[in-house]
Amino acid sequence: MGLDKTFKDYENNFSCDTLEQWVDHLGKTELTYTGNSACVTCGENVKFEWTGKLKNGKTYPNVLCEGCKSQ
Amino acid sequence: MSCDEHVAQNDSTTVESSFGSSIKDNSVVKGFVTIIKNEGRENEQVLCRNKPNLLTNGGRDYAIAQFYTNTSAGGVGCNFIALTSDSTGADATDTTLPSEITGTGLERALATTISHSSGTNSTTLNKIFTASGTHTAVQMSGTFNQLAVGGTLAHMSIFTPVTLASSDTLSVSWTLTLG
Repeated sequence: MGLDKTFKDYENNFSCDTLEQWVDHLGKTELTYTGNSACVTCGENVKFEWTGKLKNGKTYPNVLCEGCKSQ
Repeated sequence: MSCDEHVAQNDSTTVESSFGSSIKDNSVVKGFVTIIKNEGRENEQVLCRNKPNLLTNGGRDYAIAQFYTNTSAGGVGCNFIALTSDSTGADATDTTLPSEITGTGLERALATTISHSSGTNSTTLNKIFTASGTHTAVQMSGTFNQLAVGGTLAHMSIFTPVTLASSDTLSVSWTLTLG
């Protein structure tokens, strides 16, 4: 049976209609996120590829730049 | 060509026709908007949370061009976020954000966060604006495919009107799904 709801995770055969359910799924399922975001400490723009379960209640990971990570 | 192969081609045509007729109101591309004033501060105010947004007709055409009809290099993603105090509401036929704010911290900007999780149909855009002056009744946001005023308006959403003083922040998050 295909995934027929708004949010779809094809790799894990999951779909749902609300963002709350989606965020809950992201918190339980390991996925790989790619993109750009601001370092949560200094604000510098960081290109990232991160794999894990999102526990921050958002749909993208909080990232740290190399400089802040090394401190 | 055998008779069986001929039948298969007819089936294909039927499927295509059914697909077209099942699409309603740009439903293949959906989006949800969350807008928060002064997020994380004592006076945090949620102006809308996970509110379904509108994909404009122009935005749909732009997506189709990227996928199917362009014959040269593709265009930039619709990842620039704009704001306005205009109160006329969002309409699929809109091609501009009326009276778009062009300064004092709330001018159109590239999303700071652009994130996609592999194997899913979800993408997130986020920008935290910081006002450097007073803005009254800011109440609509849109996404565009370029930084300069103009370009293609892809998504729109209204939210509870909010007034910002200098140094107030406005976090605008778009969670978009495709397919």
